[in-house]
Amino acid sequence: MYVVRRAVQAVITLLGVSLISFSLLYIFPGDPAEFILSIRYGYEPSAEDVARLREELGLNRPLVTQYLDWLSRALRGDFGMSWTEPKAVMPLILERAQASAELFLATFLISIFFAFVLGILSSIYRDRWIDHLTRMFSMLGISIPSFWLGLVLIWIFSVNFHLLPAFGCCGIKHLVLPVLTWSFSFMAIKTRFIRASVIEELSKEYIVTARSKGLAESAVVLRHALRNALIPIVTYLSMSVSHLIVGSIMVEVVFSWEGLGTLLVKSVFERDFPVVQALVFLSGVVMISVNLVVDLLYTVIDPRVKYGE
Amino acid sequence: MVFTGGGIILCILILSCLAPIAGDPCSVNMDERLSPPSFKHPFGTDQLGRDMLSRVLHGGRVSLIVAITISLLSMVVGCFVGAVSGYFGGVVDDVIGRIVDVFMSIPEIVLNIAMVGVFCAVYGVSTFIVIFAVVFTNWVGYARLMRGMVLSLKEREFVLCAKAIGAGEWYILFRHIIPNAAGPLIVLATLNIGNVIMTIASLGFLGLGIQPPIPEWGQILNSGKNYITTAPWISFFPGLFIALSVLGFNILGEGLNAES
Amino acid sequence: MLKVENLVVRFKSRVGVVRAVDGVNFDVVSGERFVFVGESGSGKTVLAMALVRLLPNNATVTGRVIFDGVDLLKLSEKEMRKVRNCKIAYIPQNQASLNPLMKVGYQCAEPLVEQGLERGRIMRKVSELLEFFGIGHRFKDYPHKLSGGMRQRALLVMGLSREPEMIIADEPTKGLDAVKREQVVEAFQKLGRRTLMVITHDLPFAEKVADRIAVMYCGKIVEISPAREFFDCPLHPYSKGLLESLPERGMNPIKGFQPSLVNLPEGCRFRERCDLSTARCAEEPPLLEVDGSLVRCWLYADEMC
Repeated sequence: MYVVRRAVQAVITLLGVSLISFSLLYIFPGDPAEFILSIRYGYEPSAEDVARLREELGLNRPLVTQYLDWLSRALRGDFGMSWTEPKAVMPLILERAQASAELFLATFLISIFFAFVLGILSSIYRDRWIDHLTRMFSMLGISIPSFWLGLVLIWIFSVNFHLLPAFGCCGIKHLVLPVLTWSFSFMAIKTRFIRASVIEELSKEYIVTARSKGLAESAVVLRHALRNALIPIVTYLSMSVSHLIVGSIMVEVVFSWEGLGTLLVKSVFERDFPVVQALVFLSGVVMISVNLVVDLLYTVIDPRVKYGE
Repeated sequence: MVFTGGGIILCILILSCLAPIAGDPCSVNMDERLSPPSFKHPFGTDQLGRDMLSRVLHGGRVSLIVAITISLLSMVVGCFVGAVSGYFGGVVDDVIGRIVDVFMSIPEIVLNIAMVGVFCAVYGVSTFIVIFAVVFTNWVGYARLMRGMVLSLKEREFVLCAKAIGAGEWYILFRHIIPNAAGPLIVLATLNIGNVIMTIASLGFLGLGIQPPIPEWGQILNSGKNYITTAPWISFFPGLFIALSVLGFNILGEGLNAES
Repeated sequence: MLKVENLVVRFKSRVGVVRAVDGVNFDVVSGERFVFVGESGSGKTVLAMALVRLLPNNATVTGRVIFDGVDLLKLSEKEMRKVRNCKIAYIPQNQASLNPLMKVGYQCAEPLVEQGLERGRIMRKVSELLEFFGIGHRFKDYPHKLSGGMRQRALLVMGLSREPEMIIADEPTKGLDAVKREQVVEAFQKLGRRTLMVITHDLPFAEKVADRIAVMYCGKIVEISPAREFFDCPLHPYSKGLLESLPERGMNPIKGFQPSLVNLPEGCRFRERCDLSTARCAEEPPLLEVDGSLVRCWLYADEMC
């Protein structure tokens, strides 16, 4: 029952996301065909050209039909043609996806690992120096803008010491600075949350039980507190995909990384709106799927979920 | 923590108020372009010879005013939506819940970038569009908080009492429930202002925020990044101020949260 | 077996230092069932947790807790873990004391795993004990599927499985209805002659289980009596008040409220609620011995002289 209800919810959310993505292009006043042509040619298009394109894109049909048509094609991965390049939107996106994925995976793995280590240490040694240090560090991490940190790191490591390349893509050396920059802020948010969740669990009554059994503190924290804390932590991680996407845009722009973030910004500037539309829609799809998968995972992790709320 | 955070914010506020003393942020002086920090220009000058100190301080005014405006507008919208959703429940709550889900499912900055891009293409660039785009995504947090608060408050005795003596629904909502949600709301608003400063700066850095000639931190950083090898001070100081003000609001917010 | 001398527990809090347990002395003889009673907030639970050193870090404990000739307060954390694991089983209050993500059987087995027993033996032992208390079929269930009474019995199994020399049970009947309380009573009666210290505010339960009763009020022991005498003829006015507040004995609640532990009145702590208080009560009464009982009240001072 839970699974079905959750899936229905996800579908409704997906429809909402598609509606927003669709409206991005069609909600503004004026004729999209005229708009497209003026972008394409850079001058006022002739009336026949506009009429021909309207026919071609099916803009004469009612808005609802257009939406349904767009949605059915979008779900198959067809977002139409780019307005500025003679290519379809989807291949354009896929071309860039790998570069983003590399950066994303490296950052995600590194920051999650350190976030867990620091968060757990910090909750065990609460109010000791390691905790104060971790908290200070994570406070800085959430406050320092990643694009600024990126520039500072470029200035230190590339400009002054010529140790690492500042821009461009591919290869471990190129990964170091972007990943470092991005991990710093991403790790900070996670560390804070992991610390808070474990501390929350450590104040619960079953922890006293665990201690009364004579377990070592490490077993109390890892076997009992952390396992329970994983439930809110995993939820949080799944929600934080959006943090990752935000970070990816800023970091990619700073380091001129040819990924999806730079594609989004470039398309906005070139007014290649089908690409923008597709990226908005796809980012929504990714977030909805991750959240759905995590919620379904709970039926495995948390024995209480299966039987009701 | 409240004092540390409040102190940092106060310093930045005072500095921003004093901005006019530092001179005109837009007066171009090509003889002094890209000069490093000195007595005359404590933060150096940029590629057009404009005084960076003045630009950064004026940028602070812009960032703070815009961020607070956005946060307040989002608060009004979010609280209203959240309160209605929690108080009336049922179908209203379901529909609003789904809308909130939709907004939670699109990364804020992606939607902000897309909206600013599309709207600017149609209407031309303006600060109003930036404010609108950020409020459009930012109200959700307030709505969620408010909904939760209302749900727990509406079962409390004093609300039931008000109902028992025949008070109207809207009256109860505005006189009893919203004032009682003030504490957590203030905490959220404080943290939110910090987030919005960051969002504005990010958009500015991408060239999609507040446009020149109005000086804004992210936008100054954007122009400075091309001079990172020759004039790092152009990017350094605005970034430092973004970090400090966001830090101030985060510390204050966390402190307030611990107090309450 | 267990001898507690001048135990004091202080908590630092925002309003000031709270003396939750204030100079407590008692001993528990081997094989005895020693029951602490008192209202909530009298410091019983804090006392029990202090004995096995499970209090949070903001508590400071002073005094001596001598168990088998060793002062537990002087042991290292590692040695203390061994005591908790093998010698003294502390059984916490029931509602949320089981880990929600661990199967009941495994939770009961955990102390034995810690002792390093062989897996097969552990499983057999735990199943037997669960069976013994009538919840053998719950071995592979998660705690949320158990009723409050079953959880309490599972906690008992957890305590018993490691064959401790002594069991300290905290509020074993808290939040249970009459039927489930009866099950827990039965479970306790099945324990045989094990050294037992029980904390409870449930007087009927205490009557069924106890050999000796200690009454706590505001962090101090005001009376220690053999159970029979206590329920027939309590000595301290507070003990009388507690018994008279029971439904079957007239349901006369004690007037007033417990004073705040932050600023306690001088002298006898009960005197503002006591009908028999005199000018003398402004002075702290000593613990007096009366016919094999101990009582902290000036009423009995004259008989001594």
